[in-house]
Amino acid sequence: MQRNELLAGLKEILVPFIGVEKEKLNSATETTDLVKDLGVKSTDVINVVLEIEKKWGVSFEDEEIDALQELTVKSVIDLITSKNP
Amino acid sequence: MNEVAIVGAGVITSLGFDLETFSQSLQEGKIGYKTVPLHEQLNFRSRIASYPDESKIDYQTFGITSQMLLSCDDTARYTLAATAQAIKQANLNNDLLQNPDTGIIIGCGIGGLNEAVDLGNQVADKRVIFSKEKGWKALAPRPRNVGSHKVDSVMASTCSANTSVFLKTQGIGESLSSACSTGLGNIGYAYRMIKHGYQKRVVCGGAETNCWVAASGFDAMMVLSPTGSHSLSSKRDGFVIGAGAGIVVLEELQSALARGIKPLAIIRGYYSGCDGSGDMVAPNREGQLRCMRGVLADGHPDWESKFKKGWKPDIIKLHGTATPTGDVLEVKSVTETFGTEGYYLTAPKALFGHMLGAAGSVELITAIDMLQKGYVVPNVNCEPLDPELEFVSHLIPRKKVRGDFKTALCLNFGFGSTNAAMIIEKG
Repeated sequence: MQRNELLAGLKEILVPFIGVEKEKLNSATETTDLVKDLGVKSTDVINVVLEIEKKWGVSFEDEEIDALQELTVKSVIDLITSKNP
Repeated sequence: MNEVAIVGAGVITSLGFDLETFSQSLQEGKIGYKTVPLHEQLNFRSRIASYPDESKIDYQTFGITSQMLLSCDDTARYTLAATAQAIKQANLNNDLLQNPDTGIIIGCGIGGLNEAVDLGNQVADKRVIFSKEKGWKALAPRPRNVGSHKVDSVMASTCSANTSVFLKTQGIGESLSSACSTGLGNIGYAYRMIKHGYQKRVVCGGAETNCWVAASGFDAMMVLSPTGSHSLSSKRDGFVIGAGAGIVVLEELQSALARGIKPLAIIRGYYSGCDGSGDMVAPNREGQLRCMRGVLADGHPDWESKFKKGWKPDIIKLHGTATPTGDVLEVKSVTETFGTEGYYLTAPKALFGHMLGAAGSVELITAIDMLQKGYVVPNVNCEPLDPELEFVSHLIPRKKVRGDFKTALCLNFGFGSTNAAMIIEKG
């Protein structure tokens, strides 16, 4: 799956979780940080992961989520692509 | 002792998501309950309920974001929407809300059950996923499936917790629960907090879930009506279950007046107690008499002596659930206390059903509306009147009555033999 397709899908997933105006989500790029730039609460990251699992039929181990060093769109898409959805 | 005013109110009910629509429905004697397909599918004895149509509630219009809703079950969602209305009417800005003088006291009767049922299903959910390398694969059950908001949406304090987060208040944040007295009980506790000077204002009330599991428990008890809410009638055969929220803002009277606010009503007495009968569900004459005398003794130092000289409220809003044993016993307790002349009786559950934890607060708001607009909610389903109530037939209006009403007494009783009463005076 192309990264731009994953980015579009991720934006759909993020809609209920953001704490900023939706325009900021629409203009998000791979360098956008989910927590710092989009106001996603750190407690909601696991909920975003669950939605990703449902949407693309992948499954992440707890350790893989813990290992995320940063919560940018890029790092999340990298994690998804590592599962070859 | 401080006097306590009611300065704002909001509702989410089957009869409306704003006070004006709710009031109009009450005055027209409109019935809010209808057939619930799920009750039919599950072979409920009672297939009717009085639930707000949540698909028609636009939370964004109340200033509630999708992010705020993540930690809410339906009771908390109803609570936030009703709170937003009450805050607006009370004209409270962030400076007044976001300080230690402002608190939240909102409870629910059952609440959170939808999320709890969902939680159990999700943990046990054996999901199947597909990957190119491994094909179809079944996953083991795991707690992570439930997401991170099940605790905040299931916990007993979800209504007050979410409201406190919504408004960023710094005062008390608690939830009391006393079955069907919950709504009035939370307001009564808030009243005492202001009366004794612990808080200057409190957002308070009750909410209840729309959950088939809760409804099935009542259906199994055979206390739900298959036919409708026939309060005071010989046809009554149980209550109609409901859901919703009723929220009010209480404020120390002088504080409200100093802000230029005209109170909707002033609380003149509150009582909360138990029957002491050793019975979980049966209503009790002695407990109810103690409740009505108790509310007269509280709040206003002159009222008990006035009562001895014949004082009585203009309107008595009954608990009136339409159960076979409850209504007659309650009316007889009322007449034993206040006689058989000089007031009106109304049982508005005939219109909007029994909202359990929200009943007391929504019905207090009903009483406020009656005083504000000068009417008595018609007892639309009371015919044929129970023969045992013929002696007070003249106190039970079948159609809307208009008048300049100054005071109302609200009664609510609940499982666990809880009794609560509040007297309000038109502001």
